[in-house]
Amino acid sequence: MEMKDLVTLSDDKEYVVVSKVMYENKIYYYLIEKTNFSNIKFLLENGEELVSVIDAELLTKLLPLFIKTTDAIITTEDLELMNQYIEENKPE
Amino acid sequence: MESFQTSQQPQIQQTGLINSQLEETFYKKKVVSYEKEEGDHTSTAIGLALCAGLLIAMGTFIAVSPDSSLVTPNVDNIWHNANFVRTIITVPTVFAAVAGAIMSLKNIFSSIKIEDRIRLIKEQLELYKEKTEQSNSRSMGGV
Repeated sequence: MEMKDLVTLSDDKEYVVVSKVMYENKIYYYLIEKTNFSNIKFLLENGEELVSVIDAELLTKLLPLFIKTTDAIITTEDLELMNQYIEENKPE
Repeated sequence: MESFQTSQQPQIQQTGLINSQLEETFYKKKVVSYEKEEGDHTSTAIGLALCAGLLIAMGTFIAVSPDSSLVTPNVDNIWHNANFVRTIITVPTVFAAVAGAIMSLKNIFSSIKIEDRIRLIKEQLELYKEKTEQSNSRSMGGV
């Protein structure tokens, strides 16, 4: 899986690969559901499986890496989309 | 621990809840589809999700280190704050409040130029990097 890929996991939901990092020779993914941003997953690639990362210390180390990697691929168009989305969802 | 297989197989066996569940939950799994972005609609959704994902990650990162320290946050706090920060995506008023506490992310996505937004995000990332390095130094017995 690569960043910006669209994948469907075993819960039958579509996720965008927001970030992918290598840390201590292991590959970690940060996924967010395409239509429900409250559903996020931090996953470790383990052969044919993707395993949830729930270790607090590890997550704290991974987050800055995820942020840095994602920031590098976000385009001005993406930012404009975000701005538009926020404007459209402002309360009355 | 949740688990998703990336190979194509027929079943879905779900034995627990998704997301923010810290007990060891297993999802037998499949990747039903795996595709590159195609067309405007998908590209738009992916771009939006990327931005949302970045904001959530940034907010979560900040939330777990409210005192500018990254020392030993516990996993409960991470998920609790993650749930809270997620709301910034759908509740702009909360978004604005959170933004004020983290160097005005509100401005990043409001009226300032795209170039400036990018610059501000990059500055934030540098700040996080510094915090991380400082925290690592402290945890290793440094300054």
